[in-house]
Amino acid sequence: MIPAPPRWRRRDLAAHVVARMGGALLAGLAMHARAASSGGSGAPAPGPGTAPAAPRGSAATGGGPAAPLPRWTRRIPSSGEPVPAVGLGSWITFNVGRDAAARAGVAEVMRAFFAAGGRLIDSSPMYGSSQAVIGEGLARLGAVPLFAADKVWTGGGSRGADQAEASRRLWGVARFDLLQVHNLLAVEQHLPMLQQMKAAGRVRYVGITTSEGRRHADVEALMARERLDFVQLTYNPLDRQAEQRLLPLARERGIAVIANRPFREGQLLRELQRHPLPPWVADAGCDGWAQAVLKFIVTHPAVTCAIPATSRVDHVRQNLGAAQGAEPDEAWRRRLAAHVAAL
Amino acid sequence: MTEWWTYRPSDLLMFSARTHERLFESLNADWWPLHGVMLAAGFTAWGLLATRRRAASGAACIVIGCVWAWVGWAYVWRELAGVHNQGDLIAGAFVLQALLLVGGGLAQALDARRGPVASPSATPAAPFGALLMGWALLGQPLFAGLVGRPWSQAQVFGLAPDPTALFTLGLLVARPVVPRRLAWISVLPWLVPLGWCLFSAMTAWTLGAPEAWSVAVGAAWAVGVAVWSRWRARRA
Repeated sequence: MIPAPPRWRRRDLAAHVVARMGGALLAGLAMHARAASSGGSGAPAPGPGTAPAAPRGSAATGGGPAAPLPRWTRRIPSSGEPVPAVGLGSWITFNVGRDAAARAGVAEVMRAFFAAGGRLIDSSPMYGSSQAVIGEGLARLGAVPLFAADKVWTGGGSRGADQAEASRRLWGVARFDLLQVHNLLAVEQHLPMLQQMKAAGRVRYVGITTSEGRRHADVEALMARERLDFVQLTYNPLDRQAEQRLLPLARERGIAVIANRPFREGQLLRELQRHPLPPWVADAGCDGWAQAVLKFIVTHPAVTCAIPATSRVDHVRQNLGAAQGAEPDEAWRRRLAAHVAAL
Repeated sequence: MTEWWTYRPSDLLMFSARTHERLFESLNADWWPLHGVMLAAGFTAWGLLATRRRAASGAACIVIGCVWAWVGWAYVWRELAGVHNQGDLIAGAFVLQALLLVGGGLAQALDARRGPVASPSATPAAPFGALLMGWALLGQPLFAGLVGRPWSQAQVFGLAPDPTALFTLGLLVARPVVPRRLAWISVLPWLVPLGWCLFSAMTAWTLGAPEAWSVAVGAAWAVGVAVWSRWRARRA
C-alpha cells in the first residue's frame, strides 16, 4: 500500500500557492523583459556554452505562428535558473539507428518540442544511437534554447571523462548543461570526476540517476553526503516511492529533481486510456490522461522537470501542453493518485 | 548491473517495435536481390549434407560458416549494432561461430578417407534436423506474410540471423560438426545459435512479435531432438 503524502496545513498550502503564483508571475515578467531586449524570442536565456535561443515565429521575424503560451517553469535550486517543467526523454524513442526517415522524424519532434517552449532533453550512452540522433536533429534545427542533459554510463577509471567527451561530440554541443552518473554505475569514481569538470567549467550541473525504485537507499545517502545539483528518479501516480524520503530530502538539500518514466514507457497510459477521463481531471485543464499524469508529477513541490519520451509530434505538443494554466493543488494530486491506483 | 534480479526483459529492450521492423526492411532493401543467392547456398548445403560424403558434408559446413560471417556483418554489425549497445559483442560471436563451422568443415573434408558418414538408420535425428533446415529456408521467409507483416520485413536465410541460426541448429542435429566422441567440444557450435535464438525470442516476445514463437520452438525442437538422439545412442 502506498503511504499517503504528508497532509498540508492550510497556511502551508496558502504559502505554497502564493509562492507558485508569484514565481509564475516573476517568470512571466522576466520572459517578457528578455523578449523585449532580444527581439521577441520569449524564451529563457540559455546558459553559457549552450546554443543561443532563437525559436521560430518570433515577433522580430515579423510573422509566422504566435509565440507559445507561457509554460510552467521551475527554478534549479542550486542556481535559480528557470527550466520548463516538462522536458523530453530519449530512451527507446530516439534510438532509430541508421534509418534516415526515422532520424528526420525525431528532428521534427525536437522542432515541435522547442517550438512549444521545451528546453531540457535527456539522453545517455546507454540509449544506443539516441545521442547521435539528437546531434543530427540539433544540427538540422540550428540555434535552439537547449538544456542538454546526459549521463556517464561506464565502469570506473578514466573512461568516464572519455565517454562524456564522446557524448558531447555526438550531441555537437560546446558543453553539457547537466551530466549525471547513470544508475549509480561506478558513482564513487565518476561523481568526483564530474565535480572536477564542473569546477573547470566543462559542465554546469552534476547529478545522479536511478529508475524504477532501485537503490533508493544509496541515492539517499549520496544526496545527504554529496553536493548534487540534480537527482533523476522514477515518479508518477503509481510509482510514488520517492515521496517517502527522496523528494523531501531533495527539497531540504536544494537538489533539483528530474522525474523519469512518467508513463512507464507507455504502459501506464495504455492502461489508463481504457478508462474515461473523469470530469474533475478535464476541469483541471487536462485534454487526456497524459496531461493528467504530467500535471500530477510536475506539481509535486520537489519536482523540477519530467522527461516523457515520444516519437510523435502531436504527443510532444500534448506533453508540453500539460505545463500551462492553473496548477492543481495537493488535494487534486491526492485524488488523482487514488483514482489511478483504484483503476 | 546491480540488482540484476529486479530487471525484466522489457527493461533491457532498447528499441521500439517499429525500429526493429525497419532493421529488416533496411536489410532487405540494401541487399536485394541477394536473397536468391543465399537461398541457393542454403539448398546447396542441404543437398551436400544429404550425400553422406564427408567431403561434401565438410563443404556444407564451410558454406554455412561463411554465411554466419556474412550475416554477422550485414545484419548484426550494420543494422543491429546501431540500435543495441551490445551489437559489437554479438557480431563477434557470429564471427566466432563462423570460425567454428569453417574449422569443423575443413576437418571433415580433410578426413574424407574415413569413408562416408553414418547411414540414415544410424542417425535417427537426421530427418528431424532436415525438417528444421527446411523450415529455416522456406518457412521463415513466409512467416512474415503469415502473421500479416509486409514482405519487405521477411527474414531470409543468409541475411537475417533467425533463419540462419535455425538452419545451423538443424545441421548440427542432422550431422554433428564435431564428432560426439569429443563431447565437450561438440557442444561449442551449438552455443552461438542457441544464444541468438534466446536473445531473438526474448526480444520478439517483449515487442509482442509472433516471431518469438517460431525461433523459440525451432530452438527447443533442435535441443529436444539432440538430447533424444544422445539418449538413444547410449541405450543402443
